[in-house]
Amino acid sequence: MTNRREFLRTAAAATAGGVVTGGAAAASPLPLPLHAVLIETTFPQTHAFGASLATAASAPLLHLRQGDITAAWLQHIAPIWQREPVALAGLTLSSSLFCLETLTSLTPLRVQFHAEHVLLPDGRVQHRVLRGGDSAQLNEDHLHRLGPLWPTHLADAVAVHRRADSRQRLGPSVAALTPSLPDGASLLTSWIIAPV
Amino acid sequence: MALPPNVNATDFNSALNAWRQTVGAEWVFTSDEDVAMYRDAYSPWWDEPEERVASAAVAPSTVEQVQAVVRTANQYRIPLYAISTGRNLAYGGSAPVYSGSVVLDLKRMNRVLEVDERNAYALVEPGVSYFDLYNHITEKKLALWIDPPDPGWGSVIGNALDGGGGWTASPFRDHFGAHCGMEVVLANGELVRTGMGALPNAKTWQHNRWGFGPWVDGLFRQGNMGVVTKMGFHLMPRPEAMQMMTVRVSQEQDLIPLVDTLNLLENQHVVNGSTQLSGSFGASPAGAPATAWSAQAPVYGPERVVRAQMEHCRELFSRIPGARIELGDLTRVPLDEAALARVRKVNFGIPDLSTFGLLGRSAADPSPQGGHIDFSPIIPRTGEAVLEYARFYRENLAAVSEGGALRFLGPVFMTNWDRTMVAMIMFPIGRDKTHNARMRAAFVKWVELAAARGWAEYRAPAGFQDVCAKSYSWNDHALTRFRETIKDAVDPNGILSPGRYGVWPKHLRNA
Repeated sequence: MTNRREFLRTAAAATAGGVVTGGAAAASPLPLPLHAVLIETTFPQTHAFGASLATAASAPLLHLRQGDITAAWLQHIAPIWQREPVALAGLTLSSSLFCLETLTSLTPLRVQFHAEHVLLPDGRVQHRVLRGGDSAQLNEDHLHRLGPLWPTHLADAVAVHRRADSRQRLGPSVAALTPSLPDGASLLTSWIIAPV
Repeated sequence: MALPPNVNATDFNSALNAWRQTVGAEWVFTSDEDVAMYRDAYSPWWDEPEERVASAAVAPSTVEQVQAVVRTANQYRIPLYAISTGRNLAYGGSAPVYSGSVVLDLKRMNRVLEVDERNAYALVEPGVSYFDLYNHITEKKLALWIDPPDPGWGSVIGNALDGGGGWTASPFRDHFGAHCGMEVVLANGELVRTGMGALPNAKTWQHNRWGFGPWVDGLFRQGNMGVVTKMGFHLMPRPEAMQMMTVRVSQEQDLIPLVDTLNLLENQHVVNGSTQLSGSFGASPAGAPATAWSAQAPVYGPERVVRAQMEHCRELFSRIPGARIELGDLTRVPLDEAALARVRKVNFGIPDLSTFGLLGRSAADPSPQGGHIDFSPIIPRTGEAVLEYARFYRENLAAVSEGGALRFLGPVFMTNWDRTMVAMIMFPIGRDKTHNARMRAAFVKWVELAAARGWAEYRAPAGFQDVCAKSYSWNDHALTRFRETIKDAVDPNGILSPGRYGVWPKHLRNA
């Protein structure tokens, strides 16, 4: 039986080889191959997400602290993005997404999926999918109902996210500006940056 | 697709086609989504009709292409807005001052043309970031430092032209002040080299910044008289060591001799690092000695010299009654792994992006908005002026902040430039348009209040450059009128960055 990892590897190879799997106007049926998964280590919720997605995507897991992407950028991302625009995903502070998105300038890379997760002081989490929910088959209500299991479900959804239609143009996300948060709340951001 | 103001669709399409011929179709951006990537991420008018946005963007890769793009713009009277990397966040980013301008994106011109270790200089193109120059120097194993600002992803040229500063030693952390020679495309497409670069086969372009005759480089700082395509910079020879002294004083009035001593040490070039001045603005922790103000004084240089300079610093600071002096560990360069993990990297010439992590929730900023704009007036570098500014801040805070409803960050007293003190206040910008509108009103109010005291900004967000420029009104705005005279002469069609830093071409003046 083909497991999810093997499926994703096959999908990645097929995508890299330029296999055309559908009409130009249709979203690719293949999940996006991910080059790396980034998580903000100062929040426990990110670890389940990172472990699950990195395994599913056979991608390295890069750890960020306090939103600082410098090491990940210099050591892993910049060298590969100079050669080819590969996809990344993460559950990080919004500033990390903003920095990476800014660094995509003049490339075909765009933020294709973007969701916000407001961690409330009482342990509840408010989810808001801002972009790409359909391609990830991600449902905000489902995330709410999952309670503390939301990071793993989110990772599953990101793992099967479809590449955006190449004719679908995408502008900047709103990662630079954060929503107003309740007292004591924190904001995590999940995202995919990928070529269009 | 939006049209530039006062340009018809036929002419704009003709210009776009010409630019596609010049730079390649893939480097001319006209779709709404692609052009939106040039929005100012921290715009205080985000998603409002007044947000300043581009109509298109064109990204040349050579000087010749820049010349051709400018000539086409002149032919069709299309306003251009040149950016290097466009990451001047809090001061406008990559968005034009004049909405509808076409962004002239120079990021593809990213060659480090020369780094001379013996004479410690570099010659770079506008798309070279601090990361790029740092990587180049590191890969070549050159004993040189760059001077990165916070953050390090910006253009070396762009930051200098915007008036940016860094965090290592003087004179290198004054980025425009550390430049030596420019190459500039004028509005008519002609290419000019400044200083010694005007000599055919020049051998000393980066050895002497003044050259012969009137010096024109200043026209291109925060300017719109040309498009800078090359720029030389003096670099800091890698020092052996750095050491920091911290001085704390208990009484507010002790700030006066504290600043005087700092000034003397800096003006004598004993302290050459970027000093920091902090006021507690509140009570000290229980049991701790009261600290009204503290100063940090870093010194870079050969280890023996640094130690001797620190002794001299200690002697002078000890003359302030009650001053408590703490000498930090001497840090040797190059940094080992332990030191690298401990230090603030920009103080050691290492670019990074860690500053963005500081924009999250904290005790000082319990309601972070993500974005911000910066109010950066220059005040006299005296203790009396700092105390006056602190009083000014406290006296006006309630009214400008709507009784405390609006939270500002600061003031932060910065001394990146020799003999200069900047008293910065940050205004958070977020997604809430009502909040942003209140912040805009507060920003303008601060500008006006400060100007009434004789303090004005050295740099301003794009949407407030007119307001700030009007502060400089001595003798019926004589300086602005002189700049406009030059603008009209060198850019008669007003195509280069109209409105940048309050300088408008004739046909848009008073519009």
